[in-house]
Amino acid sequence: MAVSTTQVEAREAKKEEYERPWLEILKRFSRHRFAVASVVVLFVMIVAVTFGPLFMPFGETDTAVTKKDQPPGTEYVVPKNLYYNSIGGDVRTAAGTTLTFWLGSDGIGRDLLTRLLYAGRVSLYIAVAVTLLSELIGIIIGVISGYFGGIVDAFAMRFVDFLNTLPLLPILLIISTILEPTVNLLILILVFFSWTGGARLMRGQILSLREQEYVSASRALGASNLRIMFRHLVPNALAPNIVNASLALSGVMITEAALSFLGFGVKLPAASWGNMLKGVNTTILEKYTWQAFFPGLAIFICSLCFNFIGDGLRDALDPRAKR
Amino acid sequence: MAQSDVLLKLKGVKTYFFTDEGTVHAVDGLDFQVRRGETLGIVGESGCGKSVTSMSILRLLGKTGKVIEGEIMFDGENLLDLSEEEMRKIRGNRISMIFQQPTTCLNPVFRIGEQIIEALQIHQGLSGEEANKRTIELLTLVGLPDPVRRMRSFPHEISGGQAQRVMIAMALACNPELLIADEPTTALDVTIQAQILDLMRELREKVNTAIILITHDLGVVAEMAENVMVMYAGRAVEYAPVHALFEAPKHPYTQGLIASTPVLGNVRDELETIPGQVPSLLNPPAGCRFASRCAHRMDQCTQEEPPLIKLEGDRLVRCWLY
Repeated sequence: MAVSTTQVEAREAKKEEYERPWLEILKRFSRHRFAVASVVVLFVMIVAVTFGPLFMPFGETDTAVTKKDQPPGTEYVVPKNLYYNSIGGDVRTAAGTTLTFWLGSDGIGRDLLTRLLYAGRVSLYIAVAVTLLSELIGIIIGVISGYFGGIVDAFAMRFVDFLNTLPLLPILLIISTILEPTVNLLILILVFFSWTGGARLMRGQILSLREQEYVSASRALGASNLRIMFRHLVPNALAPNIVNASLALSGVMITEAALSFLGFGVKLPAASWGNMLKGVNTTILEKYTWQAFFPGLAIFICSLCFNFIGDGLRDALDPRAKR
Repeated sequence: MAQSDVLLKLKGVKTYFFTDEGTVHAVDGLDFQVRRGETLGIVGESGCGKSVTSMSILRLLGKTGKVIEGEIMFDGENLLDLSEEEMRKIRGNRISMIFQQPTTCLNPVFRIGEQIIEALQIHQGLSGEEANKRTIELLTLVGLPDPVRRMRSFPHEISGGQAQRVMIAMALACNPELLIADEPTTALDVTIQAQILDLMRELREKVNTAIILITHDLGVVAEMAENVMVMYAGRAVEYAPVHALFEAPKHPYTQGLIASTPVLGNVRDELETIPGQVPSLLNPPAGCRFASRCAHRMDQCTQEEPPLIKLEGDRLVRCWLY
């Protein structure tokens, strides 16, 4: 009996050793304090924007006409007849209830905190969707381009070069005058312009990896090109793209903010962190600072977190870059 | 010798590589055959076309290389006429291959069990419990200790010798009729070499696979092969049963090769060498390709290439001396 217990123990210890790759990546990642903190902060933000609006007494577009440009902490007693002017408002609160604008209200009397939470949903959704889609497309095109080389490669990479020479903002502004922008259209357009980085990274990795002997070995085993590309090469080449994706998240978020600020992008009255900054001018900055400060802070914190996480991932996934 | 007895037959195979510097005549008219269950050794120095021969058989020459002439009959079928799809069904299934560097031939991100299962999955559609069972069987067959645990190891966690055992297990996964071993022991240290050779010999009896053993190590050939083909500059220069070859090498090149093998305990200041080097395959010389390095050179040698001359005891030699 004693023998079997020690055997079981030994097996358990071994089992742990076998799971090592992931454990080790996790361990290296956790050494990066800022990255871990960023994960926590982001998690809190995601939970807040996902579930927060459900608990807010204001709707996304509810306006309190009498309470424009109020500073944070202003109280508001819901009036009797028209408690607040609702533009399709979805929350009904009994007259006489006292509500608080925790982060103040905007130029037409909407609650800033509520809008900030709704805006977070849209902004994070766009950032994540654009990044995932463009990495996916980038990886597929990069693998094909690097693996087959020759004409395929030349064609794909010249197309990448072409896209990279296009000035993004002016073109998007032109498109916005032609097409009615919706969130999903915005995502597609951003994806169209942002898959190139991932494609180049993946192609570079594949170029060196395809000469590895395990590629010839699996070919000699009867593996098809598809199998070699996506089962053997992609997992080996993925690390830089994961890091790239986490860094790209903040880039997309900022691009979205810039576009919404300029008028393309998420259309009012729906809120995004970018379009909450729309119309910010010196008057607002001087007299109603909170209207620009909080959306700006949200963008700042999120992109900082994405960058730190990207940094941490790079250290964790590339064991050679030891400090 | 019955016709069906011949598993693989190469007839006048020419494999050229088309590079920027010109056409490399890597294999330039090669004939040989392998019978079922036979072990054929192919020896020769670096760059004589040994590996290109094996890659030609499997049709894995890459973009620049091409078999431009000849036929490769495998079990009555010309491999050169098959589509890529049909060829894929043969690779790893009926003809499989093991390589020189076992550790780099395993994909570093997958557990070794998964990689053997992949071979089973491609050709036999096995998966799940069945594939697991077969994998454990294979790892036991190649003498890997504690196969259940080893299956879950990553390639960097096992030694070179163990990795070569894994490669052999992968190669044998589908019971191939022909196994091409391209310098299977070159990258291993001597004691492990002996173990791997023992294993291959043992397996040959168990699974009755024909083996093409490519090596530059005459010791390995002497130990493993039944027949030997000596290659020089893309052509076969001598073909003989292994004992006959070592007892009485006929071709001057073979004689040189055997003389330049160091003998244990026989201390000499300098090893015997063959003077000169392999001629450029970009522009092979007319006449006998070994002529420039040959001690028995005659006028005829530089003018006309000798044919393969049949000698007694089932052997062939490409030399004007006979």
